[in-house]
Amino acid sequence: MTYPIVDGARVLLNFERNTESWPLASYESRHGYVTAKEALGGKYTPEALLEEVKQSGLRGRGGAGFPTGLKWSFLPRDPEGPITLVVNADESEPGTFKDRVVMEENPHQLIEGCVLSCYAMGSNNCYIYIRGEYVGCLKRMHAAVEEAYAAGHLGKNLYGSGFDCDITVHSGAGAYICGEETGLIESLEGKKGQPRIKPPFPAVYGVYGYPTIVNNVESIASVVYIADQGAGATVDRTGYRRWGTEKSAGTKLFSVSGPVKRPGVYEVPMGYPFADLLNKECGGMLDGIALKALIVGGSSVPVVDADTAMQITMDYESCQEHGTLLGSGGVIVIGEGTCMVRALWVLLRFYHHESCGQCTPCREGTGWIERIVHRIEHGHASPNDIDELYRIADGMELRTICTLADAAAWPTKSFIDVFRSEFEEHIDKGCCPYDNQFPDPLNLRGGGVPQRHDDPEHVFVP
Amino acid sequence: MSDNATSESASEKPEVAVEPTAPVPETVTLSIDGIEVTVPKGTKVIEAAKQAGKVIPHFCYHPGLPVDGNCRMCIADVRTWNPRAEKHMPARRPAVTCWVDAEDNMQVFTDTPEVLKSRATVMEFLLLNHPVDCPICDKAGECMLQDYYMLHDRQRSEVRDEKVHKPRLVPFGDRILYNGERCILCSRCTRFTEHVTGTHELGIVNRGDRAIVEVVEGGDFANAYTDNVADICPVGALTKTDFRFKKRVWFLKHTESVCGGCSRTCNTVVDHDREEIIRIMPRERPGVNDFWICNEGRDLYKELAATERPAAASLAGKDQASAEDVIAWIGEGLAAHKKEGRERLAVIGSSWMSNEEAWLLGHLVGKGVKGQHLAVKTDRVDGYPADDVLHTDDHNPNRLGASASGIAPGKKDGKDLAGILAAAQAGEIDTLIVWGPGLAHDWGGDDAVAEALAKVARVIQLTDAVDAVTPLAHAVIPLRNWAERDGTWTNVDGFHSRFKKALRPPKGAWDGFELLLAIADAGGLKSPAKNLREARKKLKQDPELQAREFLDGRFEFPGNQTGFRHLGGVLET
Repeated sequence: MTYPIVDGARVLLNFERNTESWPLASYESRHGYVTAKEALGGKYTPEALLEEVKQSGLRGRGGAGFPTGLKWSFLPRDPEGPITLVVNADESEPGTFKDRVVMEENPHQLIEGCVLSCYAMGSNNCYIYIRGEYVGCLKRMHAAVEEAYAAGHLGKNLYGSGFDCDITVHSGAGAYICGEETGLIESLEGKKGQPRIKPPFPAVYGVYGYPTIVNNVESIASVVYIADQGAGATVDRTGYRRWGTEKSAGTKLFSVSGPVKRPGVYEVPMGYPFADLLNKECGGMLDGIALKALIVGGSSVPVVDADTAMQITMDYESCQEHGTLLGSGGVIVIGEGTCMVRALWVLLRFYHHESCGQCTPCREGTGWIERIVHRIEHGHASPNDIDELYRIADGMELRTICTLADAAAWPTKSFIDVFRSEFEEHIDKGCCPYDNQFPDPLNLRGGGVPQRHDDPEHVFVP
Repeated sequence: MSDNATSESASEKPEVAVEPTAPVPETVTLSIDGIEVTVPKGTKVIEAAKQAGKVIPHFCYHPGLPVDGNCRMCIADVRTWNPRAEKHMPARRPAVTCWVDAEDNMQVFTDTPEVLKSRATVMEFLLLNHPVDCPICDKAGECMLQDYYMLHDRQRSEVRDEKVHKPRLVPFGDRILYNGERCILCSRCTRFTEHVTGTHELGIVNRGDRAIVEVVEGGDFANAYTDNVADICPVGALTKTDFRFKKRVWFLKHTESVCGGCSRTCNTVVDHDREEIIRIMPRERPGVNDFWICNEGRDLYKELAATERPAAASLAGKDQASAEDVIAWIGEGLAAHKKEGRERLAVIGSSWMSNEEAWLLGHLVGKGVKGQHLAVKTDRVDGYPADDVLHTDDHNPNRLGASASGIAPGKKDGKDLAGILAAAQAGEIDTLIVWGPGLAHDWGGDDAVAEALAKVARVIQLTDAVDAVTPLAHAVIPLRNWAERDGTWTNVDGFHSRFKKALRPPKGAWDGFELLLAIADAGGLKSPAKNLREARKKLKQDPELQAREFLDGRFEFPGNQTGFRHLGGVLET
């Protein structure tokens, strides 16, 4: 089955996705490593490439949306030690599974992106930190890196340019907090994954105390296209800026889950209407289920109701206008019939489990709000528990080293804001008014027929 | 101003070699709640606030440990000057003042409604799963959680769920017990083992609200400094087995003291009640012990209580001799030596005597006089081995101070410890004054001491402990020990530390300094000082003392140091 082409947007998944799309031969057949060869061969000086990335308007795809080129430019001019690039492949945000597709089906583009990014920032070594549960990604990245070394796309003196680039693929142990860049660095150093207090930011004090840039898989893989086609301009619709809006350039992978007909990962231009993504790409909601709510960017962003969801266009500004965030692009579609209290409880159970336990508000707060929501769901709550819940979530916000507490507080507050009547109904009735037929109300695995499972061979068995 | 003056004068006189001066530390000026303070660059805001008289509440921050910033209690409104916007901008995320460096033109507000709300919120979270078992907690009364609750929280508990349960009564070695439920996971204890002792025995395991402190797998928490973790624990999670259920802290009286366990002379606080020492705690003293003491120093009061002390003054050949009789006898003997020649008089000082006592004794018997025999002996032999944290290999506090203040051999023909022994054996000594116990160690055993002393006509021992010399001495006067008198000791690096009287001395025990004054009086000798205060003043001005290299610029008697953890300022460190 071919991947649906949206507006011709093909930065990351510009090929027919199948089991044979990952090896080097396949990647080379579709313009693979040409960009790196050209760039190192004199097309770009490192400064020019950095400038190109800056001009492209590429923003970090991990969730925060910080401009990638700007982040790189924070590196010290003449560092005392080696600069390190760390690719953050610890994709643990509930509802997000886009990096997995890149790593499993297009690993060489990530490797090429690493080479180009290292070249631009003057780094010679790169770590790819893969989430512990992503065994498939880990094996495939290992295989791809091996292939790249054998073919001379990695190693010393690349393409005779004198530039060295080494990649180390590293597996985490499966902690959400290691997706936070300083938590990741701690984990990479072999310590307990707990975010560092900032500043100093990793660009100054990162892995082993040396300047480090931590970028998402999608951001780094996008650099290949930017180096190849140039930054371009939004007005002329050229280069990378051919897609997206002025402030949200390029394309973005969205991993859609929930009761839609074709859940999966879609690459669409920034600014693409959610209504189109739902109805065209995903084939609409499952028959008989109406859209109830939407979490647009992974579980930590505020939830919006169906009406607001249909007005959203998938870019940073529009999401913010509608009271939510684009986040990592983990689109969780929630259908009518889902108990929102239970949905929140499942989310909070995750954050309670994943809090690293360093900062007081997060360590104690995530457990507390989970217990209260659990009580509401099971009908043991009193009416003032809702305000209490809101107050606690408010107290957790912005008081911690990293944003995990915020990530737990935002959904809590927005669930109450948007679906307060449902919380009240639980308390009034003394039980959950929904018959919870699914053990997992978010139904993250998707209610419809996943498109990629059409091909039985496609299910990756490591 | 002074910088400018020096640089100008240097430029005017180029022929004069410019003395390399210490680099003037860069300073920054910031305002804390409107109070301007100037601090060295790199000072944390929380420390700068202390200078402005504002104590920002904190749990995990400790000035002797690296910053961790996890408790979030010290959040304040920190505004930095933004030159582009030309105004003070608040931080995007509220700053923890223990981590943020003070900057020029910074504005810090420590008591805005938002800051107070933030503190109350953090307190609420900290107390959420805390068992609040203060009635049975040894920390009650000096617990930061209690104090801060009263200062910054004062809210009703809103918790209606079961609290999180964790292991309690976990032994961390022999001396510490851990209660996971009381623990607020500030990581002070783990940072202590990481950065002060460097032994890495403790770590925080598990995540979220399941996290607890544990001794590292297969290890034991048994270094020489373990008890400090209980001191720095802001709550009652780590308690000392030695102090457990022994005394409520509000019954304790606190006296500044100094540990004599080794020549580091760590500054301590003796906590006592009803004339009994209950525990010994460290006292902040930069350059000496910073914030810490070793377990041996904490147990020193047990050693003190177990010491056998001379019951009363005694004089050979006279039953029921009063102290005055003995003093008169000694005084006469000294006066006779002054007339007949001092070379047959020897004084063996103690490495536990105070500088003032050593100074006065030295003056009385003729300090620096030709042919005078004065030496300092080793009183205490056993102790913890030396390490690179605090402990030195000399298990006595004041060897350096005693000899510098006056107990040193005379300039010419003055005999040292071995020399006095040889002279005693040869019958060349008529009077021997021994201060304190433990001569047997330096003189090669009890038998050697007995043999040598048999040839001395007058053996005088002034001591707070009985040893091999006591039964042989012709005159014995009991002294007060370090917990019962005032004085100063000089440590191995030349720092002076002052200890104060904590306990009421037993009947008949003399203060060493007053005893020497009385002896001088009885013998008609001229005393250079009338009281301790005068002695201390003169000691300070003594040109010979000041000339000594080891006293280089450090001849300062410490006044009140900041940061007594429980001397009226629980919230200091």
